[in-house]
Amino acid sequence: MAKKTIDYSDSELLHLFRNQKSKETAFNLIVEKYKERLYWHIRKLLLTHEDTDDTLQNVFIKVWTGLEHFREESGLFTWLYRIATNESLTFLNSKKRRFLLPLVDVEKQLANTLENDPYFNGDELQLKLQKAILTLPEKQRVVFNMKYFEELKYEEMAEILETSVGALKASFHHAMKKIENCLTEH
Amino acid sequence: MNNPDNIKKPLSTISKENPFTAPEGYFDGFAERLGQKMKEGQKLKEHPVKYSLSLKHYAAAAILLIVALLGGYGLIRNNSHTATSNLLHQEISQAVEQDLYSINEETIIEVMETAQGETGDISAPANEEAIEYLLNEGMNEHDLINAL
Repeated sequence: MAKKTIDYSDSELLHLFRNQKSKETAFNLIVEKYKERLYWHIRKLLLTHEDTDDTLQNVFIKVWTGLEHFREESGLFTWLYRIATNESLTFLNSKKRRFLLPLVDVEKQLANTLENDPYFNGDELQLKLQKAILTLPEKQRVVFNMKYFEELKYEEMAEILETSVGALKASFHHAMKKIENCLTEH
Repeated sequence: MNNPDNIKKPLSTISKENPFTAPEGYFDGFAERLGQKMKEGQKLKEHPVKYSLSLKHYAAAAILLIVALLGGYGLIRNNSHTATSNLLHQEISQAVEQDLYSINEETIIEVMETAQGETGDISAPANEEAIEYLLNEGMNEHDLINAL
C-alpha cells in the first residue's frame, strides 16, 4: 500500500529531496504535509485570504530554491515556520511602503477589511479580539498568535524566531496585558 | 497579582476556535496553482523578455535620441551664452553709470587738461602747417594772431 504524505518523517522527505530523481516528488509531499499549517499561521498574521495565498506560494517557492542548502541545524518544520513568519512580516512592510502608510494605518485598514471579509466567520467577540491583536507591535503579534492560538511550546518558538525563551515569555506577557486592557476598554 | 491566569480571564470568554475560513477547495488546488506559478517564474528566468522590435527600430530610436540630446545640449548652451551676454551688458552699464556719478569736477578738469596737453603736443606740427599755409595765402600777421 502506498505511503500517505503524513507518514513520511521530515528526515525522510529531506532524504528524498536530495535525490535528483525524487526531488519533485519530495517537494510535493512537503507542500502537502505543511500547506495547511503554514496557511493558518500566515493567515493569522495577514488576516485576508488573498494576501495569505500570495505569501504561502512565495514561501514554497523559497523552500524549493533554498532546501538544497538547508543544513538541518534546525528541524524542517522550524525552518518552514521561520520562512513563513519572515515572509509575512516582509509582506506587511511592503504593503506599508507601497501605500506610503505607517504600520498603524495598515492595521486600521486590516481591521476594516476584516469586518466585511466573507472568509471571516467569527462572532463579535472574536472580531474584537482580532482588532485588539492588531494593536500589538508586529513581533508581539507573532508571539501571541503562536502561543495563544497555535499553542506552540516556548522552546519551539525560540528556535523559529531565533530568540530566547525568556524574551518570548516577557513578550507574551506584555501582549496578554495589552489585549486584556483593550478588551476591557472597548 | 500579575499571574498570567488572572490576565487571561477576559480572553477566556472568547472562543479559541479559528474564526477564519478558506475558499472551498482551496487546499485541493493549491499544489497545482503553485506548480503553475513556479513554471511561469522559471520561464521568465530562462527568457527574461522577448522584444519584437527589429534592428531598424533600434537604429531609428538611437538616431532620435542622439538628435534630441544634441538639440537639448545646443539649447542649454545658447541659453547660457545669452544669459552670460545679458549679464555682461548689465554689469558694464551699471559700472559705467556708477563711475560717471562718482567722477567729481576736479577729476574731469584733470582729465581735460591732460587731454589738452596731449592734443597740444600731437597737433603742434599741424598748427605750423596751417600758419604757413595762411601766410602763403596772403593773410597778414596781425589777422593771423587775432584768429589764433
